Amino acid sequence: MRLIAFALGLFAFVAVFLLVLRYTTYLSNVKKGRGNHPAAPTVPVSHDSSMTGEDV
Amino acid sequence: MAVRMEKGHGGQVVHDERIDPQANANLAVWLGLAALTFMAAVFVASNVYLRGWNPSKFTLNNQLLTDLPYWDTLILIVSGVLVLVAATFFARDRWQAFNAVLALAVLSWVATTLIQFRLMLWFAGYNQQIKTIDWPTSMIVFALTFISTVLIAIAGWYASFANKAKVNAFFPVAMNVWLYTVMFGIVVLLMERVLTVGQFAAWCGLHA
Repeated sequence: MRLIAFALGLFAFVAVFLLVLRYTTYLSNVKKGRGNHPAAPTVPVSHDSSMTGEDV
Repeated sequence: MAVRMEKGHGGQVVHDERIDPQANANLAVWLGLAALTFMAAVFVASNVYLRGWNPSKFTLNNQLLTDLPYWDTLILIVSGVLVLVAATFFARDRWQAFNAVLALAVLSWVATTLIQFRLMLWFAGYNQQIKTIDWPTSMIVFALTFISTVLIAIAGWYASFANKAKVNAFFPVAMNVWLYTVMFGIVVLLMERVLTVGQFAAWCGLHA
């Protein structure tokens, strides 16, 4: 019984750890893809010449 | 995880090598808090076990001292719900509603911090056993609630800026600490009041 309680407690701890981390990561990322970043260019910028090799 | 190009000084594009500093901050804060959990657990368990006190010494015979932690935890849970509500407004960029909920949350966090401070002092003066086990854990809870209050004040200050970049970066990371504080408070209540330290001592095989 105590072993089960301990296992459940440990499971709950890890589960909550991961859930909160997931939630705060969501909160961190929810703003990144939207809105006008203060430093964002006001004219459309071509990314064709980007040397980073990534599509943005 | 979305990785975006950051603009460096002068507007040139800086390659950021797929590092997301904010996700790292979330993880770092959480790992630190997990370490605090194990430190507190080892502190309590080793003190109760090694000192070998009679389990009945951990009983509180004061109605106020047995009831107040429950009320304190209730306010703590309300505080946690309030920051979660604020977070939904935060995610939708509704800053007025966000500020209003954050103001309520400040009141609630200050209340729980003050109650926890008073509890901490009462535990310190109760008896040697309570002073050894309940006082340090209530100090940790007080420290966490105090830090949470400071963090929420900083979040409110950042939210007052016209440029929301700072609050956008700060609020999600501070959320780790707020949610952890609420959970730590609940676990301490379960371990020390719902179950008791005396029961744990008896389980360790300690008797009079």
